[in-house]
Amino acid sequence: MASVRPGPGIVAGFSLTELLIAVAILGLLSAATLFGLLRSARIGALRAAAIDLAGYLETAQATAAGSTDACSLAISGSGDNQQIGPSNAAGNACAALASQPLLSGSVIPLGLVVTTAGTLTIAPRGTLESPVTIRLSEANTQNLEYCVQLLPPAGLVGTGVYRNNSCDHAAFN
Amino acid sequence: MPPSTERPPTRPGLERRAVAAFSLVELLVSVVILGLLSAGAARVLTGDLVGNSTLQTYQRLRRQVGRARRFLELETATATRLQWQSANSLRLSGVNNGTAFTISYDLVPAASAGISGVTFRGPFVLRRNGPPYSSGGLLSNSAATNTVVLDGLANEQAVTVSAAQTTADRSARVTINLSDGGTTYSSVFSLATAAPSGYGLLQFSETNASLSGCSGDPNGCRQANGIQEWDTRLLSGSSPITITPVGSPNQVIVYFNAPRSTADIRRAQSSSSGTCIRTSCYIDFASGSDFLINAASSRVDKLVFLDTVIAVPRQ
Repeated sequence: MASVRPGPGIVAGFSLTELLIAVAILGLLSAATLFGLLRSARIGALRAAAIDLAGYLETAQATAAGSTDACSLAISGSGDNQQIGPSNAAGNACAALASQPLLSGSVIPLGLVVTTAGTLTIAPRGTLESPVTIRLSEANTQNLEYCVQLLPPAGLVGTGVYRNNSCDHAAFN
Repeated sequence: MPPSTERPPTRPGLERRAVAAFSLVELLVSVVILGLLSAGAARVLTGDLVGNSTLQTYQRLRRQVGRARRFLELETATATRLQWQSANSLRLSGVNNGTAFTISYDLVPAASAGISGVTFRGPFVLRRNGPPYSSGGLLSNSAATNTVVLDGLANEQAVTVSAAQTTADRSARVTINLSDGGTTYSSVFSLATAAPSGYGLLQFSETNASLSGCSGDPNGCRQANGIQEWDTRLLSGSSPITITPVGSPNQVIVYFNAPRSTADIRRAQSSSSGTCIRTSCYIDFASGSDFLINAASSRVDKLVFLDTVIAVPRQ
C-alpha cells in the first residue's frame, strides 16, 4: 500500500501507530512515576511513624525521669490502626500520657507490621534495665524496616534502619 | 518594482492555524519564565524545609543533652568519688549496698562502642562502662557492661569535665557539645546534687581508720565492715566538732547535706586546709593532728576516714 503524503488540501499529522506508541510511552512513564511516588510516600509514612514513635518514647522517658514509679507502655490495635499508650499497670508513671497512633496522618494504607523486642517499661527515674527495639515495616515489602530503640541505662532514644539483626542509626538520614 | 510585503494568500483553514499557534520564540520564552519561577519556588520551599529540619535537629540534640545531664547527675549523686584523668575520661566510684562499683565515661569512636544490635550515628559516642540498673531504677551489683549515653558527638573533645572555679563548692562542671548535620548544641552544667541518703559510704579496702571515741551505736558511730562512719546524730548542731583520729589515716572526707566552703573543715593547728568538691570536703593532714568541722547552720551527713588519696579536679 502506498503511503499517503501530504499534498494540497491534506494537513500533515501523526499516524495512528505513532500516536499509540506515544501514548504507550507516556503510559509507561506515568506508571513508573506513580509507582515511585507511591513508594516514596509509603517510605515517608513509615519513616514519619518511626520519628513520631521516637518522640513519644522520649516524652515517656522524660516523664519517668521525674517519677519514682515505672512507666509501662503498650502497643495495641492491628495493622495501620495500631497505637502506643500507657498500659494498665498499677502505679504507672505514664498513666497521664495520651495514646498516640503509630501512623498519624498517612492516607496510604501500609499494613503496618510492628515487632517489639524487650519490655516496654522505663524504670523509675528514667533508667532502663534492658534495651527495647521496635521495628516498623510494611506488610508486603519487609525488605525495608525502620527501627526505634530505647537503650539502657540512660534511656537513649534512637531511630535507625534495621538490617542484619542490628538497628543502624547511622543509616537513618 | 519593490518587493511586496503582502503575504501570499492562504487558505482560510491554514490561516487560522497560523494565528492561533505560538511561535517557537514565544514558547521558549514562556518555558524559560516558567523555569525561573519553578526554581525560585523550589528554593523557597527547600529553604523552609531545611530551616524546619535544623530546628528539629536542634531540639533533638537539646533533648539528648538534657537526658544525659539528668543521668550524669543521678550517677554522680550515687558515687562518692569523682575523678578524671583527661578531658574526656570521667571516673565515678562508690559503694552500692556494700559492694564497690566503678563507672567510667569515655569518648570513643562509634565503632568502638562494643554494643551488639546497634550501630550508632557517631562519629563519637559517650560510652559508659559500669553496673546496669535494675527494673526498680536502682544501680545493681551486676557485672559492668558497656552502654552509650550520648550519640552523635562530633569529636574527641565533645565532652569535657572541669572544676567550677567561681563557686565556693567548686562543683564539677561538664561541657557537652553535640553536632549533627551542621547543627550544634552546647550545654554547660554543674553537678551539684547532694548525695542522697543511703549513699556516700566508702569501699571496704579504702578505709583504714581508727577513730577515738567510736564505740558503736547508739553513739552515732559505726564500724561495720571496716568502715568508720559518724553519722548526723553526732555531727548535727552548731558547735564546731573536734576530731582526733588515732592511727595513720591521712585523709578524711566529710559529706555535707549542701555545698559547703573549705572554711567548714579546718585543721586545728593551722588556719585552713582542705578542699571541697560538690557536697563533700576532704582534708589531708599529718597523722595525729586535730581538725575542726565548723558546720554551723548546716548538717554533716557523713564523716569517713580513709587512707587513700581522694581525687581532686585538675586545675
